[in-house]
Amino acid sequence: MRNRLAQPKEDEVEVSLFGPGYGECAVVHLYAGEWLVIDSCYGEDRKTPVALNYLQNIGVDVEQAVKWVIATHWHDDHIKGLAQVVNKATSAKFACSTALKCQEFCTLIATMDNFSLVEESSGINELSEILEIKDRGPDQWLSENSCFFRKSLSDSTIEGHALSPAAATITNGHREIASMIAKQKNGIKRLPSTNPNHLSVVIQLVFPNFAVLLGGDLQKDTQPDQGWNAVLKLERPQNWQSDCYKIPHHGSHNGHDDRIWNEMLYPSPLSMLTPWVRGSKDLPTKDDVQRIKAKTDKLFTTVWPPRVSARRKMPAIDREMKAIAGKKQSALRNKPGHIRARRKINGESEWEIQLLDGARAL
Amino acid sequence: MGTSTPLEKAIDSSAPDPPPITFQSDGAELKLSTTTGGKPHQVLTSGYGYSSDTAIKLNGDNGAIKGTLRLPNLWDSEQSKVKTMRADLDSFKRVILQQWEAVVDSKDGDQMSMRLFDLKDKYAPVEVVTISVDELPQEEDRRNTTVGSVLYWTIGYERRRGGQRMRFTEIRPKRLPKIDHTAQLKINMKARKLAEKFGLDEE
Repeated sequence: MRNRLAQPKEDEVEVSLFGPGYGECAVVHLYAGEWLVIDSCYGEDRKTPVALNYLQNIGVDVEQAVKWVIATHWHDDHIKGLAQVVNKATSAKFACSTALKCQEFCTLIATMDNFSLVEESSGINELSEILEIKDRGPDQWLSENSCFFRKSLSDSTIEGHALSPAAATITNGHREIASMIAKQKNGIKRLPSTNPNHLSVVIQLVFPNFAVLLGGDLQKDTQPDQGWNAVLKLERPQNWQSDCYKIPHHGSHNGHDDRIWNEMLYPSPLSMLTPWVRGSKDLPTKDDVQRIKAKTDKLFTTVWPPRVSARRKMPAIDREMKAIAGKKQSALRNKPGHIRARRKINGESEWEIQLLDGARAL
Repeated sequence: MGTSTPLEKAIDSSAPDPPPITFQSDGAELKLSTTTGGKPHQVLTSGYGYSSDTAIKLNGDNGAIKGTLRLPNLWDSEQSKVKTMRADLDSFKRVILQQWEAVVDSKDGDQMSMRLFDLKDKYAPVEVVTISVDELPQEEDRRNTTVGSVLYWTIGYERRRGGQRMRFTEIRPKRLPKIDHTAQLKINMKARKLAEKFGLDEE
């Protein structure tokens, strides 16, 4: 087993997925010391972004080596600490969904920024912080069929493409954002993370002999021109067929479409996910796991289960909580697990998988 | 003893001659003051709860509060050694042991699920609970609580008339602002700046 603090070799691609009980971050070594960070969550201390922790621990110079920082969408399980990453990665370009490039989103940020709601900042506040750092706004807006990155090697290229959001989704997204603003007029509330994830960016990384599909939180939709339906309609070269897949929306059935597995992925690809907790609901469910395992025999999660017992407190507090909440209390797992997959950029070797800090096969 | 850093002393309820320490409470937080050598000192303007980083740790029972007290150097003088802190709850109304800010994530019938953010220890694990909406005492609050609402959940002790000490739980909504004219102007101005940043003004 490879030393966990060893950097990937120059000619090795690495896809690392991190996730505690609630949160997600992907870190990718593209080639020759150049890195990409997609989304963010905190490390165990709940204050340092896990991407910074990891890259610094393995000796990567974040300021120079991180070339792209991408926010797939603003839900707070995908963006915690991203402003710190943007701030530290001074050579990196910042990219996010084109759906946010609208007057409605500017008003939403301005509205939420004007009120301090809770100690724990929301995803929208995090984006606002990023926009303070990036005084000219995002370096790139991502939407379907946009190539945000291309690097020429001696006889081939590495490319990064966004496959979503689709044009129709963007128009609808602007309406959704406008309706959020309207609701805030009656009294400010924290923006829920339960609204549809149609605005999420899906990333396709294309290496000389293989490809990686990072599904963000994109969901299936009944409309033919939205969600995964729109992605599946895109024309894709044969070499975009992927054998490494970050499963969208925490393995939920609404992020699943058989056609993704049949048309965009090789059979039984390396598949990774992060779990999610909301109320009494945990993702993936048993049914989700069964459904995904019918498609791949290489399914990994960053941690499981995503929640742990609530810590013990003073007896008086514990007694009172028990009286109110009964047994319906738990705590989100703080420590992110880590799935690390590496292989030669020329595709000669298979993916070498390391399961660290509680990551496991499902 | 150090001269420039705060000192911590374990509270020993059996030690003699405690200095006069009084507690006051405005119902929301505990205020601690004392006199040393006849001169009043404001030792601590406020502090509440039980947490690892607050100035007072409270873990008392039976009407007394015991714990660890972080005090400035003035307590180090010969005349005012702090060894004991024992306070009868008669001298204050409420001690807050724990307080969370709760964000309602889902509401299903009379049950609501919330994430709890510890207000005294921001790095404490986020807890998830499901409770009945009926725990909110006001009908209006029960009606208005929806996904995204922010609540305070406070647990502590309070003294009732007659001196009886009771544990209490209070769950109440955070009174959130409505957007008035002034706020709207500020929002509009910030939104315009962001739109410029996004290049929307050129389109």
